[in-house]
Amino acid sequence: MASSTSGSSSSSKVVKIRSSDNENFEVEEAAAARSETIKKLLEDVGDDADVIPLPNVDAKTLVKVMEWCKKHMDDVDELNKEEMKTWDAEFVDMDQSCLYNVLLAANFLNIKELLDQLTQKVADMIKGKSPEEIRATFNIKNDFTPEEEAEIRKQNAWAFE
Amino acid sequence: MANDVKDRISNLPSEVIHHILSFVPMDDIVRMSCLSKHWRFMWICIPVLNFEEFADDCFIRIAEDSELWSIIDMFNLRGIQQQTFVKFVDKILDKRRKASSDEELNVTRFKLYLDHLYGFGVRAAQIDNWLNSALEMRVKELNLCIKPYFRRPLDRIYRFPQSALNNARSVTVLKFEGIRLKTNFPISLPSLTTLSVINVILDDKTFQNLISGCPNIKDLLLSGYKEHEEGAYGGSLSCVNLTVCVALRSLSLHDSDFTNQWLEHLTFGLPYLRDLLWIPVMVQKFKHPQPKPEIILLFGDGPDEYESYEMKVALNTPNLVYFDFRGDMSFRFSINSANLLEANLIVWSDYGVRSMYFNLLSLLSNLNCSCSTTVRLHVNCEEAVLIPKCIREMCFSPLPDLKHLKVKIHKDEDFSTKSELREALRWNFTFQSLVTTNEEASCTKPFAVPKEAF
Repeated sequence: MASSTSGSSSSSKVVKIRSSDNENFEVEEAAAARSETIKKLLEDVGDDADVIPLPNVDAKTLVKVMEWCKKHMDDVDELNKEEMKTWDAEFVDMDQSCLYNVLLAANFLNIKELLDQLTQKVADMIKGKSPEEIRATFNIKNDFTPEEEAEIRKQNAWAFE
Repeated sequence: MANDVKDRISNLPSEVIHHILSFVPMDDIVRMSCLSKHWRFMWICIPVLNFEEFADDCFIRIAEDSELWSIIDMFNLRGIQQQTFVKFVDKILDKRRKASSDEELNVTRFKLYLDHLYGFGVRAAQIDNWLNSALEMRVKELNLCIKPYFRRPLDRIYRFPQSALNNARSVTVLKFEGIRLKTNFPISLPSLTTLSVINVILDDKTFQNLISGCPNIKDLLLSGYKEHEEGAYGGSLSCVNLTVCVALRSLSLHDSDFTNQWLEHLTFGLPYLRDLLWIPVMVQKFKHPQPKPEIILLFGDGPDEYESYEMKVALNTPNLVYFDFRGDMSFRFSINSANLLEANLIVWSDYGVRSMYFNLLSLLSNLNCSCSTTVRLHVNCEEAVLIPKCIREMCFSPLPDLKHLKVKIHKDEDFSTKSELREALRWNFTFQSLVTTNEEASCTKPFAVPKEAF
């Protein structure tokens, strides 16, 4: 899906990228260049680049990341702003394991806007929640003994008293 | 059952965790220290201190967690909430300042957001102290937002202390919102690259003093720079010499007062200016013969029924490569840019108004673009581009040389009138590619129009 390019713009160049599990993708250069990492690689290798290997990103994640890049290839215009917001909100609404994969990929590929959106999403899952709720949401294992935890809660209270 | 889902958040690289936590208010992060050993001292390691006034439900949680409930005075809940916030910021800043000598525990950003507390629970002297602490820790980014800023008498608006400005030499990003600024002496902020001034009350002299010592500003955002209701403060940007910011690359002007001459003079004096954005357009003529700017963004509301004057902008910018306009179709501009590669027009019009067609035609013909230009036209209704036959017979095509046109229609049930649309556009342009998208369906369905159709 990520490899399908529409022939809408006659000038658009296509670049080839390869995921960690050796799947090749063809992506419009303008979309791929949303990633600073890819952009820099493209500049370094120039036109004779064959395939750009991305050893840290698997195919499933790469499809997701490129879906975002394609959508954000052009600047958002006024009429589309709301629409884009809805699209972005739906995009980041994915299961957690996928969320982390895309988050790590965005970090590695250095796509600032996507990274901001994803980290904001995780932050919203944290904000205003009790420690129990946060543990349940993120499967964080409480490795304190009940006594230790009580002690820390007591210590924390200093900040609010 | 325990291990079917892994705890991945705790294993994220610290830079990603810090990024996430930069969006989380500090009180939440302190409370997270009892999650597990991994999170125990997170609040003392994070580089971004983000203090947000306690929301009510959040305060109740704080009260439950601490011993506050037992001593709480039910008649002064609000007062206690405010005091708790002030003490909280005091304590955290104190701890972090003591730890900040350690390179690893550096604080890079300080953010304070108050919504109602200023002047009630939080006094000016306390904010002064917090700012001093932050600057002592050599933060790189200072973000101060105090709301609400409307209908507040001047003496109830926080005044940013002169001393803090003097101590901000290492700051690279300054963002002010809803405060007062006053300085009679030039300020030196040699590291500053980004300055954002939103609804800040300051006079022209203060602003001049502020920017005169910031030769490295690249991004400048001004919003609501105009005469304050109570006189005495505020003014017009026309009295400010912005060309002292020689490194300026991006300038955004929102809802501010200035004249055409000022803007013209300004862009002559700024060699690196690339992005210029101003809202709304009050400028009548804008000449720019020098090799800049390359990008112009223009927002125009067009003359509405209350305004009798017609808005016109003439862009004499031979090196312009990208032009972006969003506004009413009735807005008049003309461009003289031989190198224009891309024009992005997002236009709207009252549906069904006949003058809409003429507006669109004159808008397009004023583009004066060459065959290498790509024009993206985004309209709010299909009718806007379905120019009636009688008008087509009367007028010449507005863009005879155009080869690449992309049309986007915002609201469209289905392309039942596809052939009509093509017919209308075919007259309009001798283009090679046409893309229409139905955005309502929230997917892009580009279809290439077969060339033989034309």
